[in-house]
Amino acid sequence: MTQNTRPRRTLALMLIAMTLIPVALFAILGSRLIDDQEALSRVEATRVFDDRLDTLESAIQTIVRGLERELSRYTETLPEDAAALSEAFRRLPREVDALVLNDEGKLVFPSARGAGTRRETALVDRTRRFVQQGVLGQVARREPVAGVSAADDRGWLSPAIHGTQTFFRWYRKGLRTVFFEIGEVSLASELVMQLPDTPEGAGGDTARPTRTMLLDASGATLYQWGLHEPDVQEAPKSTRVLVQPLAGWRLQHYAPESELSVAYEGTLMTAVWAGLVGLAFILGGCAWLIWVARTREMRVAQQRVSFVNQVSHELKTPLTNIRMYADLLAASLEDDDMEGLGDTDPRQRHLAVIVRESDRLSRLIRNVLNFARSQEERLKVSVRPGRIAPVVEGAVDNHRESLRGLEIAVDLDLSHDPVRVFDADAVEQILGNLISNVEKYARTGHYLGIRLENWPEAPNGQGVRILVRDRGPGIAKEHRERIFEPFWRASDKLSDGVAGTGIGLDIARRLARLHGGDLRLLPSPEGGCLFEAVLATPPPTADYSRKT
Amino acid sequence: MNDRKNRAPASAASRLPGTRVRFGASGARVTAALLTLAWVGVPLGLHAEPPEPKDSKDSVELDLRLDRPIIRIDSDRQATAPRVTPLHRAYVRLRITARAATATTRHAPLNIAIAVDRTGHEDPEMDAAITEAVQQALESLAPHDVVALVAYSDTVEVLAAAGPPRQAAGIMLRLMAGKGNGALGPNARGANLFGGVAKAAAEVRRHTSHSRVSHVLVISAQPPGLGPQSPNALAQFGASVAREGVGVTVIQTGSPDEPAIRALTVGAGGTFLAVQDAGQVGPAVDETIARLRSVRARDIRVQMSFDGNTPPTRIVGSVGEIARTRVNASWRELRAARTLELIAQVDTDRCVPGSHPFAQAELRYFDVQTNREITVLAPLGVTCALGDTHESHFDFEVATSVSIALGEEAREAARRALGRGDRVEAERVLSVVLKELRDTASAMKHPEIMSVVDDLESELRTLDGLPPGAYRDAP
Repeated sequence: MTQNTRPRRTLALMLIAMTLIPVALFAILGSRLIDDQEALSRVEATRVFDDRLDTLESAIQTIVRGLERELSRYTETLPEDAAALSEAFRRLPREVDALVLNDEGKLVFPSARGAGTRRETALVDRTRRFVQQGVLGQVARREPVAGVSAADDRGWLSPAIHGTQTFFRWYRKGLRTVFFEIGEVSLASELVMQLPDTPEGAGGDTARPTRTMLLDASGATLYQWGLHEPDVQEAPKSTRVLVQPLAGWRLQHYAPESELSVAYEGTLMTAVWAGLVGLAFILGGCAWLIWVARTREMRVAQQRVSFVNQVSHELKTPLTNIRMYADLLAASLEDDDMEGLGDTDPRQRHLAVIVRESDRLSRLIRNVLNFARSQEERLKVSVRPGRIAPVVEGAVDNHRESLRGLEIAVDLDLSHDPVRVFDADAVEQILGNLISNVEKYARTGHYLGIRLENWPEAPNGQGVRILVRDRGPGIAKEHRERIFEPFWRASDKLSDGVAGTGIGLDIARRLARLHGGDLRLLPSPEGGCLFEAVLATPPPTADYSRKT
Repeated sequence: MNDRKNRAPASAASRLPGTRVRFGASGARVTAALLTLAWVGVPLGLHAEPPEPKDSKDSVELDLRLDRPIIRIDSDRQATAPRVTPLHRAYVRLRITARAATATTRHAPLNIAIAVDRTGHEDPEMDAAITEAVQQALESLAPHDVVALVAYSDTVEVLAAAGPPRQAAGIMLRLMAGKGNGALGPNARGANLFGGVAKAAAEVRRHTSHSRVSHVLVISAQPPGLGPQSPNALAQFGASVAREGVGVTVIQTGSPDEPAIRALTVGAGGTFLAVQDAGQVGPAVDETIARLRSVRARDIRVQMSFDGNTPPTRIVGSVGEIARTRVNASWRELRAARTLELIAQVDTDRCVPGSHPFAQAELRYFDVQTNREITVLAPLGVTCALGDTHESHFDFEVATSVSIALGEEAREAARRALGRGDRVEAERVLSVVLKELRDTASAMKHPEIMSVVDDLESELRTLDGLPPGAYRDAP
């Protein structure tokens, strides 16, 4: 299982992110949408409340206009005589009383001398301070307003009598002004009779608990309806101040906070949650499908790698035997070189080919095994003190025959060769892969240069830089990084017809990185390729025995 | 009016001087009794035609009389400036009496709204009794009656709009299911009596007509806590409702007399019943319904027109208004076997010897039996005599009515004065009336008048010997 852990974990994290990020974004957007809709809903609810109060205000105004029309009829034919006036006003509606003042503000009816009925006498006593110099007298004494017809010269007064608001509807009739007195309670009862009840009657919204109040000028509640019971601290959601003659009276509308967004919140919240769950389900399903497909591919690839690895392992033992017996055979041939044929002995040549090809096959197998180890994250280096130059020379020697056959000149600059701690096999494999690439792809340059340098930028300040240069066709700039990907081959004539596994540079880079360095392809102004292998190679200490 | 006023007219009326007119179903039948006071030889002019009633069961009886048939003229006053003394003061009594109902008497359709205070009581039995009483009242209504049911707390709910009572059971179910609404919540603000009565009146108003008895029956549980709640404001409101021809009865349950609620009924001229025992609720509601069913006449209006030389100077009691030479009074309804009474005081300075037309009464009312507006005129004459006249000429029944009315008025005025802390005014009012009644009593020696005098003297004695602002309870 460990061989698949890392890519599987990466894939799992990627799929989880692919699922959760859109869901989270959707949730955030949905939340903001709900907030926006709630704000809109509050505005809409407030508008509805305002409309409702507008309707109520209109209804109240209609009632007042009806009362005005009713009272106006009593002024159409106004008798002169006080007794006739008394008779004319005897049938006034509700608790309405009438006074008539002349243009000097003096009381014409009822008689100020108390000759009228008990009710008329009480009215005179009640309104005495408003007549003459009072507000009623001022209205009666006014000069006719220019441009206003007598029929239009009328209005309202609402002074307070004995602490209670009283309403006077007045009509100017020639030199006389008629005042109809209407008590606050009488007017309020007329309004209440036509306002809705609880639960709200026609025109109300019985499903939503709200409360509407009618308050008089002193702020006292005259009447209220609706199922909502606001507490003392609750502020009205909408208020309408009434106009004349009910100036100072107010209509107030209360509603619980939950009612302000009830129109949208429920459905929208459901929609967002449904969308969220649906999206999570779809993305989760897709991620699951991808997970299944990818893990199957990885399992198949792993099986292939494992197969090659096992085959390579199986090949390694017979190859070792071949090499060993080839060496034994070469030794016996040297002992039997009785005729002094030396290198011209065809058996010796044939044996050299066997040795060379078995070495090549060994390198190939080692690459395959290292690649398999790297896939399983088991690739390791085993460091010990030593010098790098012999390792470089050994790697070149391993290819000496083939380089010679390809007429590739080898230029070694190994002057910088301190004793360092490193894995000689790994360095040899890095160089072997680079030299092998020169043989395959840069043979036309007929040049191979290897140079050892100090690498001062190493993490511990102690490192070696190995530069491998050729004069081949080079690598296109856009492919410089991709050549390190396993199995990648540029599809051009550079690699056409060239055999190879495509894992050499990948293995070489991994080994360099295991040394705390890297393998890079540097730009080469002179053409060809310039590979730089940098290795953090600390100098050996006395008790050095560490293995990385 | 108290019981003595509301009792049926005495059968002895026919032996007394005055005008007695009966109006039957035809509205044209008038019976006038012209009684000649033979022992004084003074004729009393009665001018109304007395047609025989077709159906005396449906009649409303009008009785118009003077407390004295002869007004004495002092010879020495002929040349002097007019002055008013008790000797020259007369009282005219107008009395309207409805006949008692019988089993066949038709009652006017009811147009009633029942407003129930649902703020509730501490005693659950009271709530149950109210529900049961209203249920029984609804079931007792006739199909042609109109009923509305309103429940109020700090809000008002019209449970059933004005309509036929056939859905009474359903209405009651809603009333019972509605318990817990409104004022029972934590933020409730008390009972809105004003709103409840206004809504009930609005329902009644939808079917108001001459042919129906319009009424609001309020079953109150708690004092008003919302809306206009001062006695003055509620009295004004009651008067406003009554002016539209709608009566008001309040049954106050649980708590004792509540001034503001009582003021509502006083303003409306209605009835106030305080019920503290659950067992009394049903009878109180039944009694109210029965009272409404016993209405025989509605929208009763009376106008007494006096001779220009003898204008009315005062109305005894609170009913009626004087407008120059006329006295106007109106009542919303008259129930079976009940009597309405109007007493006007006249000071007869300019009386000249001989017989004169003295006053004329015009009665208008809506007859519930016939569904018609009835108008009746009844004249009254007087004889002014020079010199001494025997005091026994007084009409004892009218004089008794006047004495009782004056006594009540004096007591009420004294009570109001004491309420203001004005004991001096209370003593003055009682003393003035007592002096007048003593004169009458000493002249007539009538036991009922003597009884009134005794009552007033007792009332006055409670004020004696106490510092200003203090008084004893009446015995």
